[in-house]
Amino acid sequence: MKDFSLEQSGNVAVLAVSGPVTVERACELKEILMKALQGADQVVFDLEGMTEVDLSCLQILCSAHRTATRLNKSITLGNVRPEVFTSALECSGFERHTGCVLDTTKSCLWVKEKEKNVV
Amino acid sequence: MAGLIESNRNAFKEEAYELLSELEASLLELEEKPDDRELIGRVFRAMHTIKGSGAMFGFDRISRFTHEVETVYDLVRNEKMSVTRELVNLTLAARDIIRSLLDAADEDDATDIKRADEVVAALRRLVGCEEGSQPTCVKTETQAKCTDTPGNPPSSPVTYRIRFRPPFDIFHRGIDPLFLLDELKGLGKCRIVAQTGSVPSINEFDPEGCYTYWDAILTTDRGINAIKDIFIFVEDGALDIVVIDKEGELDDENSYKKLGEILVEQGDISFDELRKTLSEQKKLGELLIEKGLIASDKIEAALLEQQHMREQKELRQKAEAASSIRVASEKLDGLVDLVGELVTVQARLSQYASLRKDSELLLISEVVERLTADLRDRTMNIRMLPIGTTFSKFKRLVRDLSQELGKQIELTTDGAETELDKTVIEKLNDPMVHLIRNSIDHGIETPEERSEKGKPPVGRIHLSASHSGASVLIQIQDDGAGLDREAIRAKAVEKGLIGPESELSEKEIFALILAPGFSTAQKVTNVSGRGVGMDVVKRSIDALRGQIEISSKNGEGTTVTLILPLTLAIIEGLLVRIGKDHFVLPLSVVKECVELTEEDAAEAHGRHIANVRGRIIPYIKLRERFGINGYVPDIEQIVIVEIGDDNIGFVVDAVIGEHQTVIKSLGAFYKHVEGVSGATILGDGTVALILDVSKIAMLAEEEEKTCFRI
Repeated sequence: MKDFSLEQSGNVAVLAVSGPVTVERACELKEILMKALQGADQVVFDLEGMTEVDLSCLQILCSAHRTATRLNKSITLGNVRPEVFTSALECSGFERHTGCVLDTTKSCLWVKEKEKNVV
Repeated sequence: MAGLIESNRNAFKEEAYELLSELEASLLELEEKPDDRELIGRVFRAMHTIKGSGAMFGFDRISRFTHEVETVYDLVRNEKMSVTRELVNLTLAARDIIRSLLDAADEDDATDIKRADEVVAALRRLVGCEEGSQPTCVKTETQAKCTDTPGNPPSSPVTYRIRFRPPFDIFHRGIDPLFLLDELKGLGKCRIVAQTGSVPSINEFDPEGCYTYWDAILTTDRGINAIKDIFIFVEDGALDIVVIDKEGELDDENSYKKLGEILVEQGDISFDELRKTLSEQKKLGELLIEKGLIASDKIEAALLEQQHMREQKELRQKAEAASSIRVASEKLDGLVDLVGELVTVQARLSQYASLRKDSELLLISEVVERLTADLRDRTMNIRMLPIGTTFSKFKRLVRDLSQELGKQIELTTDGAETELDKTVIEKLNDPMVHLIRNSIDHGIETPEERSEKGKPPVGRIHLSASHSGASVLIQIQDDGAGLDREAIRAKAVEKGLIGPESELSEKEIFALILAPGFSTAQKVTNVSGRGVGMDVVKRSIDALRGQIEISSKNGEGTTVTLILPLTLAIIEGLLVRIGKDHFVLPLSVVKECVELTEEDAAEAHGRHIANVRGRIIPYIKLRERFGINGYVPDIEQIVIVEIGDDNIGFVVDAVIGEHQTVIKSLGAFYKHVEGVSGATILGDGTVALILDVSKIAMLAEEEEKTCFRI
């Protein structure tokens, strides 16, 4: 069970990952994300089956989000977030209060749920 | 100069004693949890501190000896040796030697030196055999030197700002940057923000490249080298470390740097840009982002730094606020004395004010009264210590004694946080040692005996402390053999303490074991059985104005309860008058006051017995007892006092009321006066004696008996 699967219905594509999502599979992840963004307006990244994650995955997601924003599309994370993912977010310092300059739609993947006010 | 050195030496001694008792507790815990790294660290640090400050103040022998023990724990700490029972035993022995070296710091005691040499030899043997099994182990001498080299990490925490820009191809080198960050977090309190500004859109994205860099704020006491060590496999340019706060430096300022200052300092924005933006008077962070001058993650990093420093400062302030100062107990005693005087003067003021019928004066006197009461409570509170420190000493006692006697005993405690006056705690130590020794030696059986009786092989001793009104109850409970009533009785008859026919209640029988020279143990062991224990206990508890209660079930165990007053300096008293003299009875034992008329007395046909709501209460006429002559009022008062299970009345002329009694000792000259436990000074400057009611009752009882015999 270490597949990336892409299912599309209408404008919504669900990209489900399972097993380790690390640098060894970074190229594969990039390809499938590009495909998802080409085919649909709304991409949901389902990470329930994720067993391991590293910096490469976080970077690709960040990049995909920027691309989506520029194309007026959206990418969101699934609601079920495995412990490995949340702890990687915390450890890597990706977690933050506001999105970056490019995040014009306020949909940054890394913004903490409850804290949205700053400065 | 000599005085200064002397006071430093004393400070070291005090610190060392404290460290030693901590060490003991840690060791006992370590014995149960030999793999607990935290505990091993604590033991090591205690040894290290004793060694270091010992050498500084000229306690060379202690320092040299402690060094040997520390060396072993360094091996343990580095997982080159494991914690065994033998090691714990040796370390406990070593602790005792350090203690006695401290006690006799200025003399040469040959036995200590010999014992120290033995322990050192044993420790070396222990290290030796461990080394045999692990040939990689370095010689102990060099090991110990490592910990002493000058490059030692500074002990006070420093806050660093770290910018880590890993090379683009870091993944290809097989390094996971998150792993490095995780290690960084292990050094101390750390906040990390990823800077993702250069992540490109997905078409240009190289999945195996690293686009991210990090800003971290780390507060650690491990030193800059520890940080550099983590990033040892990435080249120098990748790392930028700045010290932003050394311990305490920033505390004088009102708050940490402003957001803008941090950003300018980091070089993320120029000062001019900052000033221009600031002049527009909006929230700086939002403005900067809106203007596109700076990426939000940079703001994020700066904000986090601000927050981190604020929290750090708060933490430090909290620690400072919670910290304590060491005060010589004489100073406290002086304070208590003064407060005592103040309470006395205040009583006088209140008395005077109420006589004068001057409402203004009355008002002032009431305020003074309230403040004095507060001051008194606070002052008494300062002297209160939790009894837990005493409890933890007994762990060692139980461990050593039970090993010596081949018994298995578990000590549990309850209510360690119960506070008692410092003097009471100090004086409580010896009697409690006696009682626990008794429980271990006479009470709890050997594992074989216990198994035969169907009890678990491990015996239990439970120490508990709790408040009960103005007293503290301390219980020593064991699940041993219990007291043998018949044996006690037989022994008491043999010793002539009681007549062969006398009938005694269970309580009275148990009270017999408190008599001097009483021991039912068949043989004298090195622990107890000499018959000096229990009467010493009784005397010490009496001296503390406390009581002892014993209850026991044969075969199931014994419970000794010590009832002690909270403090020795001030008690709530009941002030009474006989003729022109005033006396104080401790309010804690007073149950009620009733009138005694001449008719009542006549009804009893000359016997000193009163009928109080159908109950017969014997009374003692204090007027007769103290030989006070003069006019006897028609209606006298009986103060009914509870002594043990009995109620006894004390007849006085008048009851004046509650009185905050500051206890003054009577001085050596009056040491042998029985029935009086102290004196106090009243508002008008006269002296009132504080009555020892149980003693008076006992004396009266004895006199009566002699009368009958004649």
